[in-house]
Amino acid sequence: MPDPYERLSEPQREEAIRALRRWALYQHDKTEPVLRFLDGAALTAQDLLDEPPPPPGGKDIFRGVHETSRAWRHVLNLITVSMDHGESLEEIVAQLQPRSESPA
Amino acid sequence: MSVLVVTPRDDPSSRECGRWADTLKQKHTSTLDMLTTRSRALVDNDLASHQHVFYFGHGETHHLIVPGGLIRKRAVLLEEDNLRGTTDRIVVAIACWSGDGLGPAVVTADPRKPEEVRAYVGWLDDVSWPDEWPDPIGDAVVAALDAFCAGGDVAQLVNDLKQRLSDAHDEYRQNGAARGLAPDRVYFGKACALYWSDRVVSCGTSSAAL
Repeated sequence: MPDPYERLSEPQREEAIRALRRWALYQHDKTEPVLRFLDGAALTAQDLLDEPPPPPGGKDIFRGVHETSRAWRHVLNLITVSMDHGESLEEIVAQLQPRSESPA
Repeated sequence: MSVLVVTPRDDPSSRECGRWADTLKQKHTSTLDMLTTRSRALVDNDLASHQHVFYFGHGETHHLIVPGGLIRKRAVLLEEDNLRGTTDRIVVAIACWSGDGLGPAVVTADPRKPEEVRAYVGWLDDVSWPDEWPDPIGDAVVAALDAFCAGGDVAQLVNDLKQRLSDAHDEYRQNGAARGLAPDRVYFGKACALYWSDRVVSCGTSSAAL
């Protein structure tokens, strides 16, 4: 059975992945240079799935999903199902802003 | 009616699931028999004396397992070979992945392997939760199983799981910040709950009941 994220269009995947990489790497290394590096990098959907970055703090992103590449697919699947239930990608990305940038 | 509840409790996520099973056991003390083990032999031994099986732990497409580690060998606790063999068995696997592999396999009639499982409930792929606050998802699973143990059928169990896990999404949205979750963790709580709701499936006889 195909992963739900495969239903995302290529531009949607890229937008979701940019947000997720930014979020995850900021959790892993809370430095502004990381964000500047990510903002300047040309990323495709396959980049994330082929060469996943380290999970935050070297730990599981979620309980129950251990293997890093599986975890990334899982997060993309979560986003896809959220969109199925009416949340826009823009709203989701806004909630994944690095915490220092989150509204108080 | 007898239900064997298998909880390997082999790592933090499996232990969290085990706590959900403990809560369910408190509501149905005479119906549910708990088996906390990582031993296939002990599971096989207890399967023989129980009609139905609830499992709370890790899963793969075709097996319910204790994952391997650096010094621990992967163990298969439940699979087609040991789930078959009892008439009208119902299996509920609170675990990743088995809904699209093990489920259809064990409910399919096979002349070489008689006494197929009557109904199987599981999930299509990974399921997860934010570890700071797993309670909305765990409470939803326990409440749905509580109703099932009290007399519902498999179709009602699946509908109940979907509704209660959708309600868990609302609880993360409404109360996540008050519980100290940052906006990104609130989002993941909501998304995980919706995913549990969206990806639960059953196969076999939907009117089956304990």
